[in-house]
Amino acid sequence: MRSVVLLVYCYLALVLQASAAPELAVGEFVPSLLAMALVIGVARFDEAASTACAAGLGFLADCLGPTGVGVEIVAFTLMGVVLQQARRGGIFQTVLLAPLVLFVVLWGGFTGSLAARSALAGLPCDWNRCLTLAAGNAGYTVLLGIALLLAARGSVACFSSRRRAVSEEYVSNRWRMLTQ
Amino acid sequence: MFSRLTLILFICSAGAGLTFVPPELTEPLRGLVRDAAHPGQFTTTAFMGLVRHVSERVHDWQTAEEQLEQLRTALAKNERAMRQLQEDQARLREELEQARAKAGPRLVPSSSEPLLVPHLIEARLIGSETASLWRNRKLLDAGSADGVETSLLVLGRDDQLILDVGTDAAISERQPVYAGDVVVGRIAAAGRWTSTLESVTDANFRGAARVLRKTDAGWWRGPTGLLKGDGSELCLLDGIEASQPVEVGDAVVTATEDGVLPVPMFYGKIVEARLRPGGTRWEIRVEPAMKNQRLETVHVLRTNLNPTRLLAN
Repeated sequence: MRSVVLLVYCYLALVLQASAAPELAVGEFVPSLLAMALVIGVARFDEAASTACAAGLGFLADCLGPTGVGVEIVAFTLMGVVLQQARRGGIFQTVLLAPLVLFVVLWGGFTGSLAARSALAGLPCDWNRCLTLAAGNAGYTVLLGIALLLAARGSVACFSSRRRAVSEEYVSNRWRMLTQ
Repeated sequence: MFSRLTLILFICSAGAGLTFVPPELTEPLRGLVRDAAHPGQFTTTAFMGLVRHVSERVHDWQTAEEQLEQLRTALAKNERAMRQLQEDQARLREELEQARAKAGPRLVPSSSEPLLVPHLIEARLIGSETASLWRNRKLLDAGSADGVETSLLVLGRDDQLILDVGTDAAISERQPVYAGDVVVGRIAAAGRWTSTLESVTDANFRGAARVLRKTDAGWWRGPTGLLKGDGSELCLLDGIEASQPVEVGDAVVTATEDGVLPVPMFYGKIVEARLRPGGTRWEIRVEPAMKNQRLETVHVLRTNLNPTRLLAN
């Protein structure tokens, strides 16, 4: 059952990355919805499942990438490991520190994968471009995640307050006097 | 802990190993994953289109609500203003009534009949051949037995047009001649039965004229001057100051506002307007509208004393 959930989860992440990410692109910067799924997976699943999830998401990122398979598997797995360590340290509970850590981890992972792809293609690595592009993608991903999180919390809060308002039964003083 | 580390190492090793696999081998796998994503992509695209459509509808609805609210506010404001104006109107009306009551009986002007009333007499132009016969006294000789005398006809110069009305129809010199609302000229000389016409292009013709221009706000009454014939096909318009705005295409009409005719009559259009360096007046040439008229019958303007005024005395 857990494998099925993981598969469906990864498939949904793949579909969103393939269809929604290009729509959300700002110039050269594209948010990585697969990385966002990795963060959610690390936060929600246990360590083994989240490691498997990270590897699967990395494989899917490789399949959507320009060429070759393997670089993103390694990058996503390592990002997953670092995020697991961060989670274990309670960093995800810190409102201000969590986005910063996420940004740094994603920036490192993206920079590493870009540099590795350049190296595998036999091209000299343009570090300025790698760092800028990776920072942009990572920042955009973190900001989009925060926005979605806040929107989801707002919707939940709104829904909860409505339910409370509907469930509260109005009782008049007159009725109380008659019944109590 | 060991098993987790082993798993991570295994995955990383596998990933690192896969990077060295030739693309020809990995490409079918990548294509398979991409193809598998297509149904979900299709669904997502359709869903996003639906969401976009719904959000546009919601935005339109919100905009319409805002516009409706603005219109309601404007309506309420206008209703208040209208009520205020109605109150002002009622107050002013009351004040007016009070002022009238204080001022005593009202002075109501009584209308009077005009002294001069215009009367147009239709006249036909006599053809050049008939005029030539008259000039050679052939017709006069033939009619002398019936009492037709030379002095009863005015024949004028060869280039002057002749009308078949004279003093018998109360025609006299200098009476204006029109063809519809176009000025043709004026009576140069009147005999008993005929009269000669001095057209606007005749060298002796002089008439007060006004420049008239059609604008978006209606007809603009321009400066007045003197229209002169010089024997050519065009007329001159003199006496327009250089400071006055004049353009080619402006209309030129009669400037006489003596109360006889209710509207000005048409002389023609300005075809040339020049201002010499240092000049104080425009040099304007006017193409007379009568040039394009087919003159067979014309109307002579005669002013009579109002019979009502005469009877009242």
